[in-house]
Amino acid sequence: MTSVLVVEDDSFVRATVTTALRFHGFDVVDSVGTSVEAMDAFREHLPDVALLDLDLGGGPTGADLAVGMRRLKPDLGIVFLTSFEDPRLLDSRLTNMPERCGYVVKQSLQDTEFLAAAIRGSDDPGEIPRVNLTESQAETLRLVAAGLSNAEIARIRVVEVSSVEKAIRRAANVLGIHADEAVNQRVALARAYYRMAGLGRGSA
Amino acid sequence: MDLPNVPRRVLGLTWREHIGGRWAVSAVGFAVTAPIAFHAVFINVQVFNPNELALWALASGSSLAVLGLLWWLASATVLNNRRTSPAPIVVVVLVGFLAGAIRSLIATTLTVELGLFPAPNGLGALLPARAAVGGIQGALGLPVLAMTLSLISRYRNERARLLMQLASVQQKRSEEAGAVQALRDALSGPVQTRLRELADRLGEDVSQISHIASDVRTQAHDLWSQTQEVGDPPRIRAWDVIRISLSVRPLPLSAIWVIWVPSAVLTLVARNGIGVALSQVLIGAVILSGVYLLGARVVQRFPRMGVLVLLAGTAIGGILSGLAMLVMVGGSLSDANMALIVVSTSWLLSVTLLVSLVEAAVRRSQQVLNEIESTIDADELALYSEQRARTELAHEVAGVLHGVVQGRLAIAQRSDSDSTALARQALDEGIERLAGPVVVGTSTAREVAEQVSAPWSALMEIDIAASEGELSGSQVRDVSDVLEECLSNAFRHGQATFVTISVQRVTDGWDLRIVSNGMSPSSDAVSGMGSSLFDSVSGGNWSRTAVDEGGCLVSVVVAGS
Repeated sequence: MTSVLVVEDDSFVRATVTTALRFHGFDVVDSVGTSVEAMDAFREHLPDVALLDLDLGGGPTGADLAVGMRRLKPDLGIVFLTSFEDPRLLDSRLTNMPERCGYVVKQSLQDTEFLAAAIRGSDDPGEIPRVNLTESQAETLRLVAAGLSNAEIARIRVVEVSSVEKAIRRAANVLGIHADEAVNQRVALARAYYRMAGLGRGSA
Repeated sequence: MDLPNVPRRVLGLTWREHIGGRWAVSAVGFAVTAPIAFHAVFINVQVFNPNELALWALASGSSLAVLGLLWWLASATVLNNRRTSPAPIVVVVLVGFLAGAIRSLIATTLTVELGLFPAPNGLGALLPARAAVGGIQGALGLPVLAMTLSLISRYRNERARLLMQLASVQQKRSEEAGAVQALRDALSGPVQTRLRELADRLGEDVSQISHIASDVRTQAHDLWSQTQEVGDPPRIRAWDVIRISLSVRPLPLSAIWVIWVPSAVLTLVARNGIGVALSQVLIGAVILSGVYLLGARVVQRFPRMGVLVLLAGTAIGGILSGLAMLVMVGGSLSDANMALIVVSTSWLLSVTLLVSLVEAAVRRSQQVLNEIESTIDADELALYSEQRARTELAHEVAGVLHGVVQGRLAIAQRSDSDSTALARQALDEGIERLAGPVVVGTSTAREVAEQVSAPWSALMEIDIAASEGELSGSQVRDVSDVLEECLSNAFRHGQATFVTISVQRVTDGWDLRIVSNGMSPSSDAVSGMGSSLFDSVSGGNWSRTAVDEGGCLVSVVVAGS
């Protein structure tokens, strides 16, 4: 029986996923919500697969935990469970995800068989999904959705305000958000981000 | 701990970033230079003739247009990437030299050819010396101009940053006083009421879940859309930066000895020979130095008189030194000599102003920043803080609706069993989160360091040393951000297994030192979001260096008492 460690900071999702995995016949050795608990449980059980939430709400991400766990067990199967359609939408620096990782978007959890299949296939996972945005555009979009002004984004990204404006224009083009008096482009971009981040459908 | 050599920074940027960056050549720089360069040509008037003024202006204007063209060409070629990758200072110096030399060649050729300026030994004999003078003036002037404009720009942004920081502190105070909680209640109260109504309507009717989800989504989007984006805080006017800088350092001696002396020697050598020129300039420089030292004393006592002292100091110094230099060669107060003194004095004023701004930034930037901070009045701060608080709270409430309630309702909709119970739980959690208080307060340095490093202690061994004392609200945020950035970098890029954090109180804030083992930082790690953060919290007082045995040392001073 495949042993699985579940790491998810949302207790509601954690409980739901754990129940579903047990239903599908997996041995869930532990389900925890923080990075410290995760590494303690991992050292104790050395499971076959770690199901990791990518966004643990501050501190190390699920990707960091994956790196730490692989240092202890190189053949560990890893599946990320996340609401983000693209990890770069969580953090632009998540461009180099660990190799051989599965990626399950929470929005697809209506069919828990999908999750079970990802864990069974964790030794041969597919590619990490990418939305059709460059890293710069994805990062700019994330900061727009965080409510930052162009000047603040420019300061954070160490670029000129004109570069931020350009990135916003291009991201809007890619996402099919065109200048329209009836729709505030910034709001539309934030909605698009929310949609891709799995934080809602992102449409009014 | 000995720190390896790191580039000297002024207002958070290296000299290269100031001089070779955005402002190396610019339209603003040209607008500043144009009037100075335009009337500098008139220094060559030997016999004042009003009828020739138009021709002098033509020669000067033409050479100036070529100068602008050369700057534009440099901007499009060798300085093209300066915004993303600052050009070496030597490139800016060379551009300044070439542009200055060519401008002088054109001005000289035109004035000679138009019969305005005599060339007894022929134009060819005159041009090399003129090109050298123009070139050296350009080589000195362009970097100083770029540095000045860059500093003014940094100061102007700095005010906006200060305003944001003060607004954060103000928000914390408001939170402590309960004002933010009241605002939050006003925003979230109706939403909570609506969620309760929806929970009542839900009952055991599964079909209601999709309607409720739609209702919640609409509420969140309405809230989000109604949120007025807080505009960028107003930047300080360039004039105010100049005024404040002049109140700190109005008449720097370096303007005389570094810029004025070589330029004056080169100009006078052609007229009077090397020996006489050197004597003239030495006397002129001594007189100017005396006037400047006196002016500096006056401003020390009366800082508000900075602008007046600059104007009076350069006028008096320029005229006195000009007269003294004239007397040395037995010259008379002819119209031409008067014009020479007037033009030299106004040129001296421009040079002194630029050098004054640079010196104030290099030697007394904190004093200038303090003065800039004092321009933020209580009303402006209160208004900006309230706007920020309102926006952040509206985003927070919208986020709870979007991220918590709607997400759980979606799961409830898809659940095969207990859908209504899950939906009710989603609504209850939303109500609970919206009703929660805003948590604020100060913390000790150790508490902050331990709180940030706790999640990372799962992956690295972390040792903390912290001195006694509490951090203010903004310092908690700044110290937390720096530690989080350093810890994540140490693990992700340095593959560190051991980190030492030291947070020590120093006179002007908190000194953070984060030493990690593992890999040393790559050379391109000097710029990026981490650097931007460190600049922002320390005003440039930070360094990141490789440790001999492998690993990285980051040292950041978080300002504030």
